Amino acid sequence: MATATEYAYYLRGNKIAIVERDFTAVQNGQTISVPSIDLPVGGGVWKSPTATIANGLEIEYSYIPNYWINDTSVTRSITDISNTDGFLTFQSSNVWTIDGSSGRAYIVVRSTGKYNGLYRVTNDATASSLAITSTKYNGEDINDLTGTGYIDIDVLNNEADEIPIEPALQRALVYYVKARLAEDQKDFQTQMYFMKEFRRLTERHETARIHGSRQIMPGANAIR
Amino acid sequence: MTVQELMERVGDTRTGFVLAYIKDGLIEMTSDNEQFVDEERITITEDQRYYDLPRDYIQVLDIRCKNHLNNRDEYKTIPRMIGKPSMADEDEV
Repeated sequence: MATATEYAYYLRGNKIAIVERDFTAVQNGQTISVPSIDLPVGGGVWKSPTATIANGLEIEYSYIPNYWINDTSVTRSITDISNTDGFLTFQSSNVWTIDGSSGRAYIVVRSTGKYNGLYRVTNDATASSLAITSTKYNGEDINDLTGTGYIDIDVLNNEADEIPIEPALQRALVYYVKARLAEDQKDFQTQMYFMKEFRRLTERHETARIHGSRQIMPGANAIR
Repeated sequence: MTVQELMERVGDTRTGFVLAYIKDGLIEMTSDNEQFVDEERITITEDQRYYDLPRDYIQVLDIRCKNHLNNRDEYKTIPRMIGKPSMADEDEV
């Protein structure tokens, strides 16, 4: 049976700091000489994680939908990340079968932590297990990954592409683009009108997904 | 709706220009409400305190840890600390 632990996090720049309460650190009691105070046994101190936990941290996040994965079953297993002439390179356990030499091949990477996202491939990887991307990279090689690379991707980059959001939000997006175009022409009154419509439609869409009334409850310590 | 249809509605023929604004609009929408959500699992390494956020994130919605206040391998939401712990990370990894 696994051991229960207690974690917390705080933010440091663009990173998440994970700390764990270590109860063993004060098990025997620490004594401060003047004045003499015995700390309670099991008080615990927050420190860096005391054990390695495979897939122990789960981050739920929202991302930009500027691509669409046509077939989620067509994947490659990413095993290594390396640096090829200063560019981020993903190595797969099998051949990528995509040709990026025309500049129009993309992959979406998942389950690799900070390297998740959409990448443009620049080399011909039709018979290669290396996919060199257009993303600058000067870090060290990373081995033994268990990432996933999706290769059947439709990226939002030409007129024929479907905008991958729901119809209600597509209407809102029209207002957003109109607002930006009005802003370019320094027509700020029109810009504000379209932005108001954009907000109205996005908020209405948000509300439409919630059934019933919304209630706001006072907190446990609120004045009643 | 395709990009072409949107361009006709706004009355502009500059594809790259409108595409840039469409992408800005998608970021704006994603910031306001969670439309496209993903989860990422990262291995917690002994004595490693700092972990990178996924490259394509717009908004972090939840952070959970395995076996946090349970011994059933369940992922539970962990709290955010107010301030930093007094014990610094020695190697700053």
